[in-house]
Amino acid sequence: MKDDDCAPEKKGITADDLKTAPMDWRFPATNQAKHCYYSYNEFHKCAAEKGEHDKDCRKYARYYRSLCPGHWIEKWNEERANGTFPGRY
Amino acid sequence: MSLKNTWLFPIAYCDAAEPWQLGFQDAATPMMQGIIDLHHDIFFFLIIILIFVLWMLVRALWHFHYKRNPIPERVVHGTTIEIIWTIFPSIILMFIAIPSFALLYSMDEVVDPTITIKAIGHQRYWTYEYSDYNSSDEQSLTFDSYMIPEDDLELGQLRLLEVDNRVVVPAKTHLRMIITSADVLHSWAVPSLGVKCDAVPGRLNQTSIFIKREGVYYGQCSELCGTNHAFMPIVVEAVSLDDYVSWVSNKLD
Ligand SMILES: [Cu+2]
Repeated sequence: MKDDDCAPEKKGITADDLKTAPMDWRFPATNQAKHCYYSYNEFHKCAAEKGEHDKDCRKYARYYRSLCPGHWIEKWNEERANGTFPGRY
Repeated sequence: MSLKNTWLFPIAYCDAAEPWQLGFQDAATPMMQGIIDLHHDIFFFLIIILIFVLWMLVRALWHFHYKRNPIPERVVHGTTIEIIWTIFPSIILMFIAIPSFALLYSMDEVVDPTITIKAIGHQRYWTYEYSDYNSSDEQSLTFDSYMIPEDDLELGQLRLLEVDNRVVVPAKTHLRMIITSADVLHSWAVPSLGVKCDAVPGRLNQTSIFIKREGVYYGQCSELCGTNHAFMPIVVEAVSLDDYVSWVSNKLD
């Protein structure tokens, strides 16, 4: 994985970019809502501990962006900004 | 299915509903193939039972007609026949249940996917999100897929099935579909792919798809969601992996 993965100007993909959040045996159910929520929280926990651009955190960021619908992320980000998000981080 | 001789015997697959169609559309995923095979297996038992029951019925009506058999018999109980008609149907049910459960559980099996695509139902269109390539929360390959109204159809396009933005996916790749809704219940269903998954607000229903061949697959919203429920079709276009990569790259630019 390259270091400039976070750069917003990066456009286009190659076949190497075809990867997504893997199947997680902690979330075997059809409903993946918890998988999404867990990944979102895990990212913010990680970001609080190691900083947003840490390799592990970027992994969780990728996972939750892959799994969560855009309007869920938007809502949670808004709640985080307002301080009303129920999560710890 | 061997495609060795397609140049000699061209095949046109049935990947969209036809007028007055009774049978299945052609399978494009192993799941749909399994569903069709199970249907045919069960139909084998169904027809045998149907013929047997009809034979019994007609035979009884014939032999015990009041003119032919004026004095009715008064059989009250027969243990042997009771045992036979209890055990025998149970065995048939078992033969139906075993392949049925095997198929059901194989559908739940999730292979590690290469791509996640989110389908979000709205009143009355579908939104698709390809977020595997995001590097921030905002930037995302997201588009709405509206039905093409009848007046705007071009020659050869399918009425009530064509959309303005198709879901482009690579063939021969494990896909994870995440299906949800932003308002009421919908259902994301594509017959050729053997997929029918409810879109429920607050739930992220996951289903996996492996498309065996390139093609354009048509489906419709399959949960009654309101007045325009019939006008939110689904079109999946399966392309080669290279074409998919360049499609995504174009969309991201
Ligand atoms: Cu609908």
